[in-house]
Amino acid sequence: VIYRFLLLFFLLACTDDPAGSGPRIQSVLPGAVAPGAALRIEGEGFGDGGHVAIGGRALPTTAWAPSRIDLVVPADMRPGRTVLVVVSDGRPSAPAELEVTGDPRPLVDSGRVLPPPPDGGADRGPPTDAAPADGGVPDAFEGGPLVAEFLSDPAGMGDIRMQQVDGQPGELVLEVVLPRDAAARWGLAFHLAWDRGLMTLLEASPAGGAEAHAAEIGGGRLAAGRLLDGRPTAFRLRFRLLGRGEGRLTFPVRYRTLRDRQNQPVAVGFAEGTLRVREVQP
Amino acid sequence: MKALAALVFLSVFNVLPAQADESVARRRFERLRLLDHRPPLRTGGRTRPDSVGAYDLLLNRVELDLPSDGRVLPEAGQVHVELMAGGAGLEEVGLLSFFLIPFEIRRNGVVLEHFRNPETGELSIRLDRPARRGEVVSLDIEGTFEGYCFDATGCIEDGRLRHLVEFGWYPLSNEFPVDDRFDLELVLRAPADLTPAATGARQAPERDGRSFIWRYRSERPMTLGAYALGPFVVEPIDGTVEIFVPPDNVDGGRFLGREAVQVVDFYEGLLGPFPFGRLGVAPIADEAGVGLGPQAQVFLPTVFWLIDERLEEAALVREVLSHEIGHQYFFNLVGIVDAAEGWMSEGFAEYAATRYSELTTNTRDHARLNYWEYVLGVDEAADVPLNSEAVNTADPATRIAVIYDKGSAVLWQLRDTVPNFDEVLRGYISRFAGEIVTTRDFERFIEQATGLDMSAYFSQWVRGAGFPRVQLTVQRPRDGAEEVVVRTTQLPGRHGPFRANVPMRGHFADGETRTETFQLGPAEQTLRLGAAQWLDFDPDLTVFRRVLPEPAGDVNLSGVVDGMDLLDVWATQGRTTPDPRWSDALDVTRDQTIDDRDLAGIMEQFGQGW
Repeated sequence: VIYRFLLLFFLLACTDDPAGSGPRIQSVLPGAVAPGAALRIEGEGFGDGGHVAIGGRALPTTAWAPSRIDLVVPADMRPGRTVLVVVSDGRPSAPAELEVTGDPRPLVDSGRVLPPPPDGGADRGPPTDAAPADGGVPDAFEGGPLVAEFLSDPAGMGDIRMQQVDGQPGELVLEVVLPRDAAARWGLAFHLAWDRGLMTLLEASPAGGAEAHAAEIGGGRLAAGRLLDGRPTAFRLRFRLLGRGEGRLTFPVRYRTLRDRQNQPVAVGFAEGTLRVREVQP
Repeated sequence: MKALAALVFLSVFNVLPAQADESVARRRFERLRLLDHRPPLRTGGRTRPDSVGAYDLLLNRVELDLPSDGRVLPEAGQVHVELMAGGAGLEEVGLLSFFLIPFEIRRNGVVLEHFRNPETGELSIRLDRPARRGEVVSLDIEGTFEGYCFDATGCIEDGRLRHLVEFGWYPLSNEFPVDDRFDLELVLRAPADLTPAATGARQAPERDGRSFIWRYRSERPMTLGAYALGPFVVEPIDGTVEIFVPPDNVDGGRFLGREAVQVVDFYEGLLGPFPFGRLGVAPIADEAGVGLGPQAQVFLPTVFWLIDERLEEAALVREVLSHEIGHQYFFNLVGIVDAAEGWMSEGFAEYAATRYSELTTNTRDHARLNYWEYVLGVDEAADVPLNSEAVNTADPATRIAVIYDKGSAVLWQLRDTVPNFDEVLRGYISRFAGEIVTTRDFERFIEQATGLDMSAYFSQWVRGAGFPRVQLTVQRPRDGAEEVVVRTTQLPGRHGPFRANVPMRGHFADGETRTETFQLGPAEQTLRLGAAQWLDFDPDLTVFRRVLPEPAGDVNLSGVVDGMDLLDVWATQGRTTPDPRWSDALDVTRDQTIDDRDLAGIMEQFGQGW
């Protein structure tokens, strides 16, 4: 299953698929819903069928029309803020915020770390805006909340790398960490690419201002730039997990650079990694 | 028309030393203000009356008894004129005599009838007997001087330092269109405490009582004489260069002297043998606000004698000095007479100066600065062709930006594109030494020397005005192909459309670069530089253009507004025009300043293009 999924990821990452032709959510009512209650999604481009995922969990629907979908939120849905995605004809919508009311339950993480893929994180070109064929929700399933595990590729002493830090349930927090030599340089800029079906950026810290700026510039794509001034951490990135599965987090070669004080490029390695998002059984 | 030719050898530069806290903008303003040309001569553009006979002016000998009371000219003086009759013979001689009002004119002792129009300065002299074609006519004219000082650039009438650069004759004959120049002798009887620095070769002064008689004679035919007066000490620097030093500043001028020797040495290698046996460098009053480069003599503001090479202003001294010495080749050796050809004097002298700057700084900064002075400094509606009479009636800032800055930039572009351009330029100087040239002569000479067809280049950039404003949109396919699509659009404008071969340099992640050339035109271009991280459009300024990325925040032409654009704009914060490192792609707000507004523009557009 793992290898099949990776192959699918690579194929899709190399496919041009202009955005804008998939389903689009205009409203979710109610915005705060209790487990077991009915939910209505209005929008356009829903087509004749597909599925809806809440917090990465694909759910059955009770009615489906091109501009409206009705469903019932499962009684065991984990309370908290999450996202809802409509998948139609293999195309996912942009995530819509949803709050599931009730008392939150603790997140249990017992997953194992996956080895990196054999390509070593080479630049595969800009990722597509399209999600995997099943809309970023690899398999329809019924289950609990999502947890993420990030495994960095082997990093050299001088590599810029990512490390996972503690985050809220249903989220992934990564820090882009600089080795001493790199931190002493002047500026850093990079893109970070991931499978948009797995997660979406909630916030970057610092998010923007006189000396740093980072933003998701498309589904599964973040661009960032920062003046370093000796800081050991370039950015802390907080993502919301959308669906389970596995994929690579990469710094595409064409869009990464470390600069000296004359703004000239400096040779540096970027360690990438593999992300696995899975369900935690309640 | 021909009288205007006298204007073009005058070169003018800022003389104010930069203050420590002086902003670039202020410096630019001062430079523009003081770079301004002198006003046109009052007879500029006049055509010769038909009644004036044809002749070739051969010699002017001006004899002046210089006053000791601090004035630049005596009340009266004598001029000896020799001219050769042309056409079918000569019965009447017409001259322009701006400042000399004759009271007696003789030919071999015979007093001649004459008439001078005080409004135009035209002087008509009826000969006592007609001169046959080819016969030399000698005239001795005595007169008084009036109205010779009408601006500080050309003349400082009195004071400790004074100078005069526009006395003399302006031949009206069109009979010898390539031989309008003449020999000039200056015989200056000066008090012992006064030393004239003048055009031409100098003989040893003769003592005459409490005065000395100084004799200067042109080494090559010329049109205008010039001299400066002051209590100078003449210091020979080497066999060619001599510095005129004010006596209260005996240590001054050493830097100038060394630099002048270096410039002459450099030009001998770059342009050919120095055309004159001596080169004087003399101070004139700072109020003149200019440098001047008549034959064998350079005049510079006296403040230059206070600057040594450790000061920031030394760079300005080098620029001005090398420009004026450049006029020894361009105007004094290879001459021009047509007002439309001003760039062949000023632009070429400025090009020589930028080459000297390249030697001393090991950068192209001076040349790049001139490029941007033109491209960013000239309003599109005011722009005029480099080779045109219209350039002389343009506003001063435009005139200077076109003649000096664009003129020198054209030669840099030719240097970058014409094989062995240095050799071609030396050949051109050698071929036309002592002659009058036009732009067409220069163009044809390049074509003959190289076999290249230069017509398109000269038509577009020399005989045409303006330059393209190129909007660039970069897109990459998302399939990872080694391809980037660059869409170029020339924005509609007053001039153009333009065509040019433009280099695009790709910068790769491993630090390597690769340059490909594409043809700028109306058609969309596709370049195979897709693995490049970012692109540089014409980094060496080989084409006159402005670059306007779309979106504007994609300053590095990568196809997306992102962190690399931020780094580039951060790195250039505070840069403003004029700056040799200027890149207008970085100017997101297009206000000729790179500042936090440009950063804000990038953040607003972050992700566009993706």
